[in-house]
Amino acid sequence: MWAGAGRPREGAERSRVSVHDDKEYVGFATLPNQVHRKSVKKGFDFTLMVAGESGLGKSTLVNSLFLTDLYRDRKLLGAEERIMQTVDITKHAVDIEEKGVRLRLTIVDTPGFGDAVNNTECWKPVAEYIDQQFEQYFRDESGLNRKNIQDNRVHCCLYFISPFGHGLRPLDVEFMKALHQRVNIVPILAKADTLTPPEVERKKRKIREEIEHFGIKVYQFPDCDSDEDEDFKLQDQALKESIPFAVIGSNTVVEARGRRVRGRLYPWGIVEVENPGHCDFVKLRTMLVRTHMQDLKDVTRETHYENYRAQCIQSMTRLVVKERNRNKLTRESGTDFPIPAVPPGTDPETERLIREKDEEDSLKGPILMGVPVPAAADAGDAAQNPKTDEGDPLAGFQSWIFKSPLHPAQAGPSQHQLCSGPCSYCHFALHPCCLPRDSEEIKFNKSMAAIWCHCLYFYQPLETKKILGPTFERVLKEGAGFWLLVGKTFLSYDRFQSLPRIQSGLSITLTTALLSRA
Amino acid sequence: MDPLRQSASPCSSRPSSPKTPPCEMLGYVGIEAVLDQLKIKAMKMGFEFNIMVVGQSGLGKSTMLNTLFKSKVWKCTLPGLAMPTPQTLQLKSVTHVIEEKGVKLKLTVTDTPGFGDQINNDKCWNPILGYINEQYERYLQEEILITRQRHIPDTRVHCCVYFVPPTGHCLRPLDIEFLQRLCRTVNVVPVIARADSLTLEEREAFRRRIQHNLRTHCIEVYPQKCFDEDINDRILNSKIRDRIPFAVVGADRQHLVNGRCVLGRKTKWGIIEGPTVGKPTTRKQTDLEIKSLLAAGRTQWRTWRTVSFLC
Repeated sequence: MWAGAGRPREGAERSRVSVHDDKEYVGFATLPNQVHRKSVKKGFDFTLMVAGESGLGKSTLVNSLFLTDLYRDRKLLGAEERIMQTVDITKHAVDIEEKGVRLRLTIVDTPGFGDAVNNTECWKPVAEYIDQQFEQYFRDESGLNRKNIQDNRVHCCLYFISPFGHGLRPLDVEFMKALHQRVNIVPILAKADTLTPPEVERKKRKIREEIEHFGIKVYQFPDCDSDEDEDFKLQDQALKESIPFAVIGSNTVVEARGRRVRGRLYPWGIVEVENPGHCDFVKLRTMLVRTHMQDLKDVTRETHYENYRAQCIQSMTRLVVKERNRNKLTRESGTDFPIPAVPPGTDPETERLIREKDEEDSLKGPILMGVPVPAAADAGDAAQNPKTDEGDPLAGFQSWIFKSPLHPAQAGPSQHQLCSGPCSYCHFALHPCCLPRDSEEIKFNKSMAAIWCHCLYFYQPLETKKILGPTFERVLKEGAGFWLLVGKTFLSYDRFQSLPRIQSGLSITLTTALLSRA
Repeated sequence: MDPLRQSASPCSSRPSSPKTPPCEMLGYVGIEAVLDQLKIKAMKMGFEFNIMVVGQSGLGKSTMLNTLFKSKVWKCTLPGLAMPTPQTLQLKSVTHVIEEKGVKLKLTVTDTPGFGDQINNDKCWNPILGYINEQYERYLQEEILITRQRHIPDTRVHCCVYFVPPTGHCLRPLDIEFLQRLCRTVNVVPVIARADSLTLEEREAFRRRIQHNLRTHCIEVYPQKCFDEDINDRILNSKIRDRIPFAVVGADRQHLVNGRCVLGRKTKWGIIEGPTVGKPTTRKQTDLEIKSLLAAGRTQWRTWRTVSFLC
């Protein structure tokens, strides 16, 4: 089924051409249709956050934008209650359907923002909420069942700027600076019907200047391709120059020029919400829903979420290194001696080291790579298990694994459904928690690599000779790092440090710690 | 006391206070000429009025003052040329002498830029309170001198106009804190700034809510109930109290409406006229403030003086 089939052609021509076309076309031009059909079935979701001082018309605008009545039964807080209030985060979810397309819209509101006398760090709860959603997604993504991940990440934040001030207030600047790396910020000039057109222009210019001056990165519209038509380009340009959008919202319908429109009735005239001459409401709605919704989601996914993820993983690495460095100082003497970091690029030396350690290790017996069940560092493996006191790097590693929020044991049983099967990410190893206690697979003399990838930790038995096999390579490339236990040596590899390449393109820097045996 | 003479002049219809029984005058003495003398003297001396405006930046304080006194009392800061908000609250005073129909008024306007603009607005009212008390203190010092000046320069703040942003909800914690502290020291007149952002119903609802808030927190704004002297005062004042807080729209540009030249704001959907009769705006406020505040200022002053002597 392709586009050509429906076209009317003359008689014999048709059959000839169709047959001819059949041969020419592969038919993947229908892929967009398939995607379209699938998405329509699945529905979309979008999370929008509204932030700003109270009384700027946030709820009214949300109702106007999506033609809903989310805040119908809202009771405004009295002044007494407001004094005691801290910033709250509330969520309203609504399912909207239009022409068969479903949208699950979640509005995140921040009542209490900027209302108190002392508003220091009142943006913290908001930032924490956004980070929490990222973390939840990170966990879900690293988990086992990734089919139905609920995406609660905030895709867009509408920040309401008061029209009564002279540009941005200190609170506005602080809020936007705290959040511009976490979420797409779209600044909005609220209650624009209090301003005359020249005032609107002046304020917009001032706000744009101040945003640039303070280095705030608001959401940038993507540049349109050079092959788009002039009309579209003009529209796009106009859109870019309308930041911040001067909007008016209304919950009431009034009669204006013979039609019923959403608007506000004043003694001196009627303000129409959807009149492009009166305010930028139409532009905002077009941008948010009709043209840039997907782009907002993409930027959230590709930029903000990735930044968060990278930060998260980096901080975990640093934690480990710190832990290990700490443990180095309190280590026992004896067989332990610090191996200085091997300068990168010395491939044969690394191999030799690994080989040496391996031989040493094989003399000593199997090493159980800590089964990370806290109560179970005991049992029959106590003799072979390395000491689990503070001075032991393995213990440090173990405790670190345990304390990490990503660990399935921490996350709780519901996160971890698999008990005896390969890791769904790499398909090769078992989860540490589900390592069978007395399994044969654990007892071997070969070095075990504990590979820490972003989908949690898994252990892969390796033969040292085949240390850089293709699967392992893939895992190393896609994971964040790994720990390699070779004999008594712990090797760690951190992808985020820039390392030269060896062998098949990956290098190992030895940041070593020694294990002490019981 | 001598028996008083009957009066045949129309001045017998003058209302008298209930305390003293009306005296019957027989013949014309000419007491009312004293009024003229007072008037002449007052015109020579001129009046003094000190007004302070408090509110967040951008609420139209300067514009309102200009509209109120129909002259460029205060230079309005345009958004493009605004100075950066000062870190601490500073008070700026400007004195003008304006004249109308031979009556001179020495008007001192005190502005408070930076009020409520910071992130942490704790104790932002302290400089204001300090300033007001300082003026009272100065006057007191002059008053208790043995040889006083004939006319002590009066720098006491007679009225403080507090601008409430038109959120449409209710008073914010900052507003309440400020009003609670200041209503005991100075006459406070709360005003809904930039009222053209509210429709009539919203305005009424907002006004009721603010009145409710003021009652709940025992904030006595001007005109205070306890200073009502007689029944007429009370009637007049209660009418005014019903309209507090006033919703104001300041405008300093002239536009042509129906052949008239009015001060207003021109938008795409209509022209908002500044002082108009139908709206409880700046006109009423002018009358209210200038005429009675001077008198009420004296009562406040008496209270402050008593208090300062006691402690």
